[in-house]
Amino acid sequence: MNPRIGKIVKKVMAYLGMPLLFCLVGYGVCYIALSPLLSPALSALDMVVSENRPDFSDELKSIFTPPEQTDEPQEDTVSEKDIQIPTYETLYAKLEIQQVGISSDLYFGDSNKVLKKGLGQYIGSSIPGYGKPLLISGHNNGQFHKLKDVQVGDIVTITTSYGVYEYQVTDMQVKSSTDKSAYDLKQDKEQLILYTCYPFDMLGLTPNRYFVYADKISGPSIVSE
Amino acid sequence: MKQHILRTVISGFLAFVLSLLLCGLVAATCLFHTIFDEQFVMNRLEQADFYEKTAATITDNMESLGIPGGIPAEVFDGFVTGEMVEKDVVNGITAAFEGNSSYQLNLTPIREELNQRFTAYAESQSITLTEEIQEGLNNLVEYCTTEYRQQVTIPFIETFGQIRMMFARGYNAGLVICAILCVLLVVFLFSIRRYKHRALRFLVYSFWGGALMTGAFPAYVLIGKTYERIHLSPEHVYNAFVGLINTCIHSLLIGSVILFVIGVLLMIGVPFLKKWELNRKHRKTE
Repeated sequence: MNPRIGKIVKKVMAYLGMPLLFCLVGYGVCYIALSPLLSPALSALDMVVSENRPDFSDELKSIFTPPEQTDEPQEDTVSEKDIQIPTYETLYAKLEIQQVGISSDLYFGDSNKVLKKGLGQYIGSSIPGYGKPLLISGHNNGQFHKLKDVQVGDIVTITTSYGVYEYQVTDMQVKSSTDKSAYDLKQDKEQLILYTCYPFDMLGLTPNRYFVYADKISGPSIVSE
Repeated sequence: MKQHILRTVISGFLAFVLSLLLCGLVAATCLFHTIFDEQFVMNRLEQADFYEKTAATITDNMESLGIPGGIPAEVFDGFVTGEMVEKDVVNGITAAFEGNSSYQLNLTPIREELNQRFTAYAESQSITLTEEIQEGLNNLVEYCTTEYRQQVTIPFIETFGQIRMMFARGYNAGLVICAILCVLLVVFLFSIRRYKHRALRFLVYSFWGGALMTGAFPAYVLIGKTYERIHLSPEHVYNAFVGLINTCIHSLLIGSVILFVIGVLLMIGVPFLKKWELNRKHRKTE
């Protein structure tokens, strides 16, 4: 190689290589100096950063498709692989109490946005079919205004995409909103618990809640294979 | 030969330290004049229409709270305005930036106005305000007031204000010390090199190294857009936050470009300095 060209190449490499070396060493020094702070900072960041940008659309998602009406009886079980577990603020079922004329969309999640549109299920409770309690709320001057007319023995129907579930009302009670004995979400029984504010037509935020309890009488059990 | 290697190593080390100082200077200046600058933050919030959107969110949330309480949405019409929100948000930010930890939002006018509106509504519906109903309305007033306070308080502003205070305290003195150190390093670099154009080359390495250090990480964050996946709500708070971070990143990149351009100008000067030194040497020998 021509010595002059060699010198030029050497200078160009120095102009590129030295700043790059400084940058790498500089970041290395910063990493070492800040490493005690980096780990907790990254853990905190992991808690607030998700995989996707947040979705601020007002539209609530829906995964509800009414099952086909057939003369054949429902299966006793449905595979977990064949059902879509709802995410927060997703419409996934329809709840009806024909005896009192209640018919409303049922969402997973009970935010203000959901309760404006329909009934909201507490996400710490289970969906129908898992043999665990469901806790569902609605506004007393909205979808659950007629809940006060429900009687023992009335049937509550929850229609999901994977099956139709029926629950028979067993009890109604008025309890304080802070009363933790009002329901038990850890019990091994598929109990449906509906609640709303009480008294029904009172102005202002009330301290009490009206609970309606119902036990499952039909509907496929979800099995994992 | 050994002396030449030693001089090169020392020059390299001095240039590295200089690049670190340049990076620190530019980064600190960019931060001080963007996210740590109160006026900058206020301007960004105003540009993002933050106050009006916050007022709309508060009204919407209060209407949602009013539904179970039997209070219709019309009762809240015109209650929360952009000006009202702006006053409280600005006061909160100013207090945080000044390190005033005793600042408390004055919620009394909010409570009084809500009470008046609810009472007026009850009277318009010929509802007698029994003790039970009054208690229910008081609960609703408290929930609505809490909602207002939560929405006008910028998340983590107090902690951010404390960090900003620490930064501000060290900034001016740090700036002067950095500048003096930079000058000393440059003087030392030129004094240990016999051929000044070689010292100038090391200066170019410093500026380009500083440019890379200042710009590489922000460029990576800008390309990866990690900050856009942060879960902040409602939308206007998220937009304000993302806007602030975006501007800060862009200012760091501009700082990096400025360092790079200075490096380019110095690089252009190297052959001229070399020629001048050769001419001087030639004149001396004559």
